[in-house]
Amino acid sequence: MLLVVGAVLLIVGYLALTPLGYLLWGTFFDEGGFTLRFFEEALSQQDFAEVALTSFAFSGGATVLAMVIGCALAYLLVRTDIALKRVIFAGSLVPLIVPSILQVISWIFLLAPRTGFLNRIAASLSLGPFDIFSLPGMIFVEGMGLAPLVFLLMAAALRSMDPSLEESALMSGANLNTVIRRVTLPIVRPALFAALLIMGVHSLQAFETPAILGIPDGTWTFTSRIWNSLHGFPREFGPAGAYSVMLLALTGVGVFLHSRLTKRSTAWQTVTGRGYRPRPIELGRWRGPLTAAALGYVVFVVVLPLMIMFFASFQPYFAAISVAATENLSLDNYRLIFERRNILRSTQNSLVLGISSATFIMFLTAVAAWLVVRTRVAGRWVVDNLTFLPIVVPGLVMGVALLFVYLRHPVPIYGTLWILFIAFLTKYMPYGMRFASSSMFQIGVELEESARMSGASWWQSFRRIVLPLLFPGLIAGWIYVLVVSIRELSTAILVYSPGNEVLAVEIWELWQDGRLTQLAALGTLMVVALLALAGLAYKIGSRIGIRETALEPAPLPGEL
Amino acid sequence: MRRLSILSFAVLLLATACQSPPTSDQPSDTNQLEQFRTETNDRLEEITGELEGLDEKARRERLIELAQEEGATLTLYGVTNLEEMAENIDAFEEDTGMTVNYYRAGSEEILQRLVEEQKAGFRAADAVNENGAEMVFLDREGMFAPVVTPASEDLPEKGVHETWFWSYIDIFAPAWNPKLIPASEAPKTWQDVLGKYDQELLMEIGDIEWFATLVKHFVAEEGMTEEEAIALFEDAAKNATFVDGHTLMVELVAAGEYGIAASPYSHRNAEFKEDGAPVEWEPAVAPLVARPEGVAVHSTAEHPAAALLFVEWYLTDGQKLGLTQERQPASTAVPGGGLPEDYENIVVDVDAVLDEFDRWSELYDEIVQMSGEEVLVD
Repeated sequence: MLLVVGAVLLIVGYLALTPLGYLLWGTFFDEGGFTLRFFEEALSQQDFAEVALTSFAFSGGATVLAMVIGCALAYLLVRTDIALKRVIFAGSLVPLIVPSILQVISWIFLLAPRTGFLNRIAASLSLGPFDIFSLPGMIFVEGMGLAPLVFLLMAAALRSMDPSLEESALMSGANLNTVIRRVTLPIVRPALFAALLIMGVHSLQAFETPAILGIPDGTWTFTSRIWNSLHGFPREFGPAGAYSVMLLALTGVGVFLHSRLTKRSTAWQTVTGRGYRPRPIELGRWRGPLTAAALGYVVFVVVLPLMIMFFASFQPYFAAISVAATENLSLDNYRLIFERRNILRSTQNSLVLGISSATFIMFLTAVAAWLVVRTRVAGRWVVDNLTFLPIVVPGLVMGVALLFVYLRHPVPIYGTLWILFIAFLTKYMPYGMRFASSSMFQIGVELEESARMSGASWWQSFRRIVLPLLFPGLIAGWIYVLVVSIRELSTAILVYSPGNEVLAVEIWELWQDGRLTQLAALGTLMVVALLALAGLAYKIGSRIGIRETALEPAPLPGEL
Repeated sequence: MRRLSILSFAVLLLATACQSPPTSDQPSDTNQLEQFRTETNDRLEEITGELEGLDEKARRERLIELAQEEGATLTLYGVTNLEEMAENIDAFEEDTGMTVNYYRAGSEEILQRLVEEQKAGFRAADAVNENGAEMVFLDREGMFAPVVTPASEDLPEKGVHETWFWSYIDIFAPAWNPKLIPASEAPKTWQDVLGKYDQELLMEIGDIEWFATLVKHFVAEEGMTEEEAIALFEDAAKNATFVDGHTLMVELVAAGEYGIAASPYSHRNAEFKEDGAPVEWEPAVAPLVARPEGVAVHSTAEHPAAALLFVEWYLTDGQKLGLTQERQPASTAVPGGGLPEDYENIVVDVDAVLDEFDRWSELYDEIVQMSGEEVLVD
């Protein structure tokens, strides 16, 4: 046990601290030693206050939007008898799969002030255009992009919850509102705070949305400023580092708060040695309207952008949808994509990297989560914070830090696929950890204790009790990391080399070259493939581990 | 367990402490770099010696042989669009039997990559293709190896340097959508472009050389002071939208989202127009801004013969392909090549711009950030 745990500790520590170390080093030191001049430079920029406010507004707005939608969806799907569960479940997850850059561009196709499809409809109804190139536009797009992540996290937590507590409350005469407020919410609080934290941090360091929608409008956030410093030449690493360190401080506070709130982990355990049989809450006359609302969300937010991207993939150049535009449709873009140099190799690289990092991360974080949640080892909060640390480093800065680390370290991985592997491991470790530990929180210790008392070794108990119980959370995490690593861009863009391109980089190049319609074609292909992948992974996942899934509660004895 | 944590920290600290800070300018491995440089230099001298006196055909054949001996592989870092370069690379591979690894990125990214690799004493690129000012910069950083080649004979005089050569000439030519801006309102001068089209104008966030060249032109030819010239751009920015990407500009204009783009490439305009998109750029605004891009052998190239082969090929065979792509080849041996004669144009003085790069870059950055001030949101 010590061996495994020790190895995990070393790996986690190395992954988390090295890029961070370089970041701090480069920000607080220059040739002359310790310095604060980079902070002075950043703070003295004339619109710093505005940038900070905009960043908070953007992050706050997107987080609130994502939490509201994600929690509502999770509760409806996991806990109630809402109709069309499968469709809504699958549909809600789609934005996780679609690369951010594609989502943003699809929204531009829909809501560009003049040519956007929805705006043209609105214009015919005499409604003002909604300009996507604005702060509200940014909040909308980012919030919609994050909602599925909230949904996954909350669904995993709700699924592992013992419903008998809710049932007792219902039987005691409480109405649904009271039950949710006073029983459900407190129990899923760790997951809620984890979700809030992740969304807050995620949106604070979002890249594609502020860069693509904000810059044309002159709406700057921390990340678009960082990008601006790193994008030009020479790279202004100092101010970029200063901004990053400020972001880091914010999220450090968040992590600390989270640790304190969730210290009393036993209070949240509900998957215990007793059997549990969740029973969906009946919605009654609300079933119809709520199903329609959930379906409406899926159609408007998920299907529509994809459909427009699909349509654009057949156009020779981006033009507003009209009868005239349909005359020019062809398969040319697809042909061009398949003829594109390196496309086969990029696809291969993406898959290899995705699968290996997802697998490695989920195993690593399963052990780490066990260490943090289950043991009483002094200093385990260090591991918890270490696994969470990379989340505070914006993808761009992570890329630069990794570049520096591995250009100069003796480990010869620069110029190979390994540097991307390490980049992904570092970047997605926090997400894996959250899935693993959220689920770990809700598993009681008696199951393991019984196993150990019956003579099982630590490894046996871990492998045969803990892992299977964790599986819903681990699978959710695995799927997430796989899919998200395939769409990852901001780090990969800096550390890839000729021969080691990934698909996300191909998309970026198409964007840089202004080939919007070819981008739409590649995007369509990617989304279809990723959807298939995710579907497959989900099917496999629901066979392993506990029989219960979000959609099919176990039959009660007597129902069979 | 606690001891293990402390130990891990110590190991990590040690590991990271042995290097100079990431933001320092000192190359951290100068010995390695010098060694590579000397190797490449010696090799190039050998190669030049062997090729002396050979005629064109024999020279090409011998060079191919030498490149094959190196492993028949070439790593090229370049700014040219993948689609356009892919045609060239495919033809090159076919003609010479080489395998090319093409790393394509924006001009700033390539700069960053090359500089960082140099700092780390790491060698990767054999040949480099970059925009004019960047080529000068890289040259001054010692990234290029001096090369003498008969392939440069047909280039314009300005285009031949000790270490690098003009390969293609990009021409900045404003483009507009005739449905939004009919011919009667089309721009004729840069003052039109910058001043006449409130809310319809697209500008690019990184076009520092274009900006610098036009300001100098206004001062030299239109009798403005520098402040007046810069004010033109500032006023334009307040009512313009900035985008990142020259092709994207044309795409947005073609879509009808904006009426006019200030600095797209002429070959892109022509391409869109050919595809049937509503894009016009002629009669062209006068004078157009011409900016050369260049090609060179990297000073630490691991495959110098292959790099030299590519440079020579690109300056000869590779020029003809450019015509089919509507690009402007630098070689006068190709009909229509060299500096464009059909349009009035001014060539970016890459050396001068680079000398004052910080100043121009800061000025342009301020201009870019002005776009947020008075944009109206209905």
